Amino acid sequence: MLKTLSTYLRERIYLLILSTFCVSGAFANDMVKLNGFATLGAIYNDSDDLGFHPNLKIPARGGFSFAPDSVIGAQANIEFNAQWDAVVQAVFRDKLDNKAINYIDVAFLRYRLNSSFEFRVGRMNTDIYFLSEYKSVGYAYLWARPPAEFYGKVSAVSQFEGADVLYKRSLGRGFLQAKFGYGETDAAIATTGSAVDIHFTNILMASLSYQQDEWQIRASFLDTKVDEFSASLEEVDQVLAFFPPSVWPGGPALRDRFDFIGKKQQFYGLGFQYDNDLWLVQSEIGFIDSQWDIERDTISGYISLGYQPDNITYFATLSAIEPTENNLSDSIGEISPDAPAVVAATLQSFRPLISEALNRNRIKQHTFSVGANWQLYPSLVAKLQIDCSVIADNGFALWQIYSEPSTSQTVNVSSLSLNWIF
Amino acid sequence: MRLLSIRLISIFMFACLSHSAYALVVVVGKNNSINSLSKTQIIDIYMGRYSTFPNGIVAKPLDRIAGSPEKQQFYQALVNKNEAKINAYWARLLFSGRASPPSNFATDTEMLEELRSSAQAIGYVLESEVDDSMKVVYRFEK
Repeated sequence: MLKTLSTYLRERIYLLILSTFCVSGAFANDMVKLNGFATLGAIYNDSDDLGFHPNLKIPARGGFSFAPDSVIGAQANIEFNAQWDAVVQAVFRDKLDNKAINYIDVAFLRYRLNSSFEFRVGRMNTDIYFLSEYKSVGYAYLWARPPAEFYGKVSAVSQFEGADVLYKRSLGRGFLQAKFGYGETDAAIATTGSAVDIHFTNILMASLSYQQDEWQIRASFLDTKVDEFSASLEEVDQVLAFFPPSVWPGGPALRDRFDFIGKKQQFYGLGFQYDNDLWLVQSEIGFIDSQWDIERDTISGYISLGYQPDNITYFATLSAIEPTENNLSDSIGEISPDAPAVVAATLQSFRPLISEALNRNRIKQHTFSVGANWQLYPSLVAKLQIDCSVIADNGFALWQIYSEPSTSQTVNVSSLSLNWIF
Repeated sequence: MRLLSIRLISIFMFACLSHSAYALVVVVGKNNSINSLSKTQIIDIYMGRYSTFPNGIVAKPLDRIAGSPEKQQFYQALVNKNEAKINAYWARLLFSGRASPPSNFATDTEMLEELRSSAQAIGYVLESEVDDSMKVVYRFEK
């Protein structure tokens, strides 16, 4: 009931912001600035076993496809006065979530208290990594897409509904920005099989960035809890009902490992960038700390080097992700010594299922990418990129599995795209 | 010998005048209360860090025509970046909802007209384009 009310209120807020935009547009066109962006992108995935998706919110594709990278977006900036403004951004792309309201990536009202403090309320991008606020705008960054090893997993919380505050000031020869936000978000995210719906609540995010001349550094933190998850624990509960704690004392503890309610997920990120107009180096590293065994602790990162002699930038990127604990226990827990042998044997037979459940979301892979970025016209950029991904055994969770690979895999994904702003 | 000296002096003076005429300066309208800005303060305004002048008055930065020598020269001198990099930078700021880029105009005449008429405007012009309706607030080091 509360969830329904909350969803209803959130949708009313977006509609209010959208209608504000329409009214403003009708009565004062000079208040409203319209802009857009688009990417026409083609990929070729050479794997028959694994489907490729740029992040977990986008359906996976095999072979040749325009779907994963192609996108078109429109944005309205509405300036009411020097203190108040609003931004609405609609982005149309292939995605797992089919709710119309979720084609609105951004819809917020902003109040500028003074030159240092800004407050926003609405739906916003979660500012926890370099590309977090413009990852749909291919024109604005170097690669065909953000490295999946680093950006893929955190894409589940790439937007949130709530409020944030930005503090900014000149510091020394550079510029400092600090942001704090609080809110919640729904997401439909891919697994190796189908998609699951998940609701993240109590999202608390903080980021700090400092830019001086050619250098930029940033640090970020996000803390959240999962309070709704479409995959149920019904099967575990049925087994528990059949084998009570008097027979299977380890049962409740095992259930707790799979239960998501109240389990914290935390993200810590660090990034740096150096850009002297000829050479570009960008790197980020992230760590996910999860109390929920289904979502393992992972460490991920990338480093990218670009050389930009003229209108063409050549680049190479190495990105990787792996769990920090390779072998989570697949033990079924304590079985009473008084339990009949047949009961103990039955419980032990569940062990492969536990192992499978734990491995289903395991990600372990690295990708080497090379490519080029051409500035064809001031508002048009073409990109060519080839990714070679090496995926470890039981580490396929960034891909959709069409047919179960028996061993590690090497997959090549080639991409060609045209990226506009208008 | 005297004739040669006069010629050399003339060439030197012409070179100085030419250089001065093509030097870029940052200007505001005559009615703007700002009298000078530092390079950092100009970067703050032109790179979308702050939307106001240091005195809190809203600033309206103006750009020259895309691809013009003045625009390229200005951004190289200001932040050592070419126009393509500036375009990508503004795409990031615009579509992240943080700030809007400087106003663009179809002709330099329109830009200069806006500069003269708006108390909030700030722009960059050739020193030879400065007239009584403008106030120079910054000169790039030669």
